[in-house]
Amino acid sequence: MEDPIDSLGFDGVIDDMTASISSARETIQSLKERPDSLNSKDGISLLSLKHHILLSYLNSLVLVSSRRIIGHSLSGRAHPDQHFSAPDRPSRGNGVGDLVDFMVEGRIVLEKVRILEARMRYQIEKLVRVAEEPDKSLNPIDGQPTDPLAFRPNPNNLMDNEEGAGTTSGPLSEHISHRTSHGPHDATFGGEVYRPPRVAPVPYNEKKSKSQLRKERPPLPSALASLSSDPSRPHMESTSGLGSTPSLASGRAAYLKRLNEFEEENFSRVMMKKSDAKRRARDEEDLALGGSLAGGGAKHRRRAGGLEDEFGDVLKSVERASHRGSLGGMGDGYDELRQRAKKADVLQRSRQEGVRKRASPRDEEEPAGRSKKRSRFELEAKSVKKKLKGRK
Amino acid sequence: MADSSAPITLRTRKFITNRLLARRQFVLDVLHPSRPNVSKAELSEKLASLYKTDKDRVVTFGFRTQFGGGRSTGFALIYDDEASQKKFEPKYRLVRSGLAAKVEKPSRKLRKERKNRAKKFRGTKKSKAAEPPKKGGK
Repeated sequence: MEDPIDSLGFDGVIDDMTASISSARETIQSLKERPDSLNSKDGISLLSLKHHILLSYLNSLVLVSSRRIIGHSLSGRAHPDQHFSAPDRPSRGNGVGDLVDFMVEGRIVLEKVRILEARMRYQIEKLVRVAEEPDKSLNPIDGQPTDPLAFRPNPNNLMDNEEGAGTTSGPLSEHISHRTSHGPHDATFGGEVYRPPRVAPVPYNEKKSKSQLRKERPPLPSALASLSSDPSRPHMESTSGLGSTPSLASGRAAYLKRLNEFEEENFSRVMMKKSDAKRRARDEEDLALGGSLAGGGAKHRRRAGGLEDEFGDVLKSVERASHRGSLGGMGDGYDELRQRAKKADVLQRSRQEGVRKRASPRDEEEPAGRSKKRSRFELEAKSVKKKLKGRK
Repeated sequence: MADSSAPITLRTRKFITNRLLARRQFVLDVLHPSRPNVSKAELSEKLASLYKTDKDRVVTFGFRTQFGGGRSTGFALIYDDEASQKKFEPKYRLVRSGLAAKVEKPSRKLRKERKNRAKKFRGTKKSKAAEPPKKGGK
């Protein structure tokens, strides 16, 4: 009836059991030599709680399984023998059901212990590290042994020692050296003061946005504008006699051309706002009369006739050149600031102050700041006016 | 000023025969040197004589005068028959050419107000609610 394989397995199981029983006996011997380790008078720590509960769990498991093998049912519960008022009355009796209850309880407690252990992981790791390397170094400041379980910052580490970083307490120093060994930039941290790099101060120039830069860029010269389109014919025929094809000169002109093509292709007019439609009509007229629409439409359109349009790019580039030449000469970053500080020319100033004077009411007092210096002519004109008024 | 007997030149560009919509469509360039503008009716007459169709079949729209006068560009369609024109033309152009009547509706605001007033009633009473509530005296 018994297979030969089964007896081999059985032998293996018996051997395992013998080995484990002998190792358990060794542990029990060592425990017997130190009876105070089982003493829980001072309270029980979290880590030893786990061991004790596991032990009781195994105990009950063995009893339950032996009862089950015999064939008893697992539901018999009994009250403990002692009276209710006895102080050391256990919570459960000796029935089999009580053992099962105890196993369930032990499981729940173990789960909760696991959570608590997770919360205290940092402290436990420190303990383990201390246990692994017992290093009793003295704290140079206090003269007392550095308590590796003290979790407050160690001012010893911040001090400037002669030996450098080596005098920090054992596990902490390892931690720090472990950290600094990372990374390519290895700052020699041996108690030196950090000195930032010395950089000369640079003036702050506001960065112009792209649209602003585009607006303020000098317009492409109309003579060169046609080169990109057809370099083999640098001189192109035009009906207006003013220059090369205006529709290729500027972005606005190209857009209008494209719009026209779109409309003709799709057999319908594009819906536009009134202002847009007016602007379009005006631009188309300008184009037809020969302007290239370069130089931005934002500038005031009160320019006279076709001269400004024809030579607009030249005139604008001349202005820009004088602006840029000074910068090219000196070239330090403070030029913009200097420009701002300079007074504008007389014409600009008179315009500005004319506006300001008109804006503020005449009854106001003179402003607290610097008022305009009255020229002799103005004073005389004022006095004449007063005389005329008085005469009336 | 406006010399209505001055000759006009018509030029067609991008001529397409649109079989799907039963029409011929093209871009029309009108050269009118001594006149401010040419009316759509006159243009459709001229086109009808050019293409030997009925002047009601010709639809012109979208004319814009170019740089200072003398020339304008627009679009024109010539339908094959009235049925296809009524089917494919948008309502506003049919009204322009007289083939459809304009639907007279009260203003949008008025319509919406009436609807909201009618929401308060049910059934035939809705017509009674069409008028606004009489204010005081009357």
